[in-house]
Amino acid sequence: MRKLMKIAASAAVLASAVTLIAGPALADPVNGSGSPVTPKETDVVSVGSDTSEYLVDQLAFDYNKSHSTGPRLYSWDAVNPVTGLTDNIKTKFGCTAIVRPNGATAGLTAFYANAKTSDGKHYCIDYVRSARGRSSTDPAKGPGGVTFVALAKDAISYAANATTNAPHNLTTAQLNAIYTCTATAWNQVGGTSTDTIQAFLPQTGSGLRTSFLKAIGVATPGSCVNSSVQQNEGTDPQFKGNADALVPYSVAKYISQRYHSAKCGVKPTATQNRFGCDEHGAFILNSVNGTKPTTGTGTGTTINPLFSAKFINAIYDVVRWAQTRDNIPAYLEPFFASAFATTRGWICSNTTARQDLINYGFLPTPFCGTGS
Amino acid sequence: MHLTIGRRARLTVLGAGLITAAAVALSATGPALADTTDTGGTATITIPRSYIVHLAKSGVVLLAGAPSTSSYTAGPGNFSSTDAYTLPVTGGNGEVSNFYGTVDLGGTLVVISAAHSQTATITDLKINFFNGTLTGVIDGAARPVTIAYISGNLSSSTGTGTETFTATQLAFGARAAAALNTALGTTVFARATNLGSLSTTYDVTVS
Repeated sequence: MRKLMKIAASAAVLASAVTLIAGPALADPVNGSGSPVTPKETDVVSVGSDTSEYLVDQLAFDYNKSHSTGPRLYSWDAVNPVTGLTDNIKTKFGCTAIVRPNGATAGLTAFYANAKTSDGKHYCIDYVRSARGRSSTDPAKGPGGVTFVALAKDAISYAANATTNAPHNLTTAQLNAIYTCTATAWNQVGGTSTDTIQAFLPQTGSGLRTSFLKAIGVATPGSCVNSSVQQNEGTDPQFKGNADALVPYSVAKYISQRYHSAKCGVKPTATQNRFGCDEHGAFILNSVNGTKPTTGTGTGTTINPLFSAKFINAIYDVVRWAQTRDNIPAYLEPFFASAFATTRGWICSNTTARQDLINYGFLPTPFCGTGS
Repeated sequence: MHLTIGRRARLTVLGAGLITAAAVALSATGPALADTTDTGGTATITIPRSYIVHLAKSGVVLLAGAPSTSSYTAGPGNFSSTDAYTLPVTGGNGEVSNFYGTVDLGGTLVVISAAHSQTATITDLKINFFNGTLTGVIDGAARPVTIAYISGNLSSSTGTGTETFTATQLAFGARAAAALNTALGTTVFARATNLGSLSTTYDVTVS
């Protein structure tokens, strides 16, 4: 735990050095009218993953819009949506400010601190968005531990610019070779160019990074790998016109950005996603092991359910373990439990929530609400 | 309306320098690491006594066909007493960590109508993690049907080489109910009836 806290602190220091670009975005989280609010002690609040941040923003918005009583559902993005920075946030009224967790691992570290509101009655973080499953360092599924509750399915592919030296298909073994730096030129992995491969990864707190490295069988990336990019942003200047760059990318986020989102800084239309904007840049997604990451075209594009198995990736809401039938705390079951559980969860059963999952590029699964 | 700008969070470059590593030529069509293969374990369908009695009142009984087995456990009440049908896992590529693939089950479920002297046999049972169903082939039909939809309270875990999954409800599939009614000359099977629960534990290997 102490080591994880150090990692979180280091991330905060690094983030303080990033460039600021102002824009017309609103602070988070927002209520059912789209206005920024400070959550009450009794509200249900999350931090964590970048991959599912806009999806959960939308789910929270729709939940709050359709419920006039009871606790509200709120979600803090991985970085400040106005500044793009990792700032300090008070997750609820009466909570001490913390460094905004950027990614699932950072979110879980903050969650495991079990900070409470000043009245001592409520947790400051109720659940964590995660794009990775349970790891050996997470508390067990049992008393005092946590439950990873499945929300939907994502996939991870590698993205490269449309004009690229990267092959449009790589195998797991080739990706392993690239990210362990045993293959450093494109002609070693099926390309024709002798250019040096520029392999990128998201920052170390990223659940997407963890899941991708697990899928390609890499415990520690090689020293040739650049871990300086925010995940799922094809607009990073390091990618612009770079024919030798590749980076793992959430297929859901790509679909959401490219087919369902407005250009950044432009007001979304009524048919576009309210949260997030099109940051895919000039990226295209490529195939892995001969399977394509998507099917369909335009707004009908979805994750290919038969995409290479290891690269299909569930996303989760992580909650404190409870002695209930589904091991979800009773006060959170109305939000996260399965569609047919004793207490039905809104996210897994509501038709608007299901459409939100689709609009943000994710694959709904009948196993929504499964605790692991 | 919420607007979001493109973020420019740029962490300090960590390990950005490119190095020239020992060249290891890899074929563009080189073999991928294989997906997992399910190699052993069991799946258990646990049916409450109340449903067994319901079938019996219509002259219908359910039996386990080898190598599957059944085992009755007495409890304090109708719903607490259960009959568990255990089937061996014989293969597949089912993954509970990302709800991918199918788990193949051996053995059969044999349904007999005493009243009409008819028998229906369910073979090729599979747990389908793509769509959350238990499928099977009734009396050698050309296509499998959904025997039940997996639902209720759901739980999973993945350990070193072992995967487990449990569901507290199995909702009878409409086509399976209709096919069994037709085969047995009854009307006792109804869609969406909760058959009971499902649990499975199996081993996986990666080659």
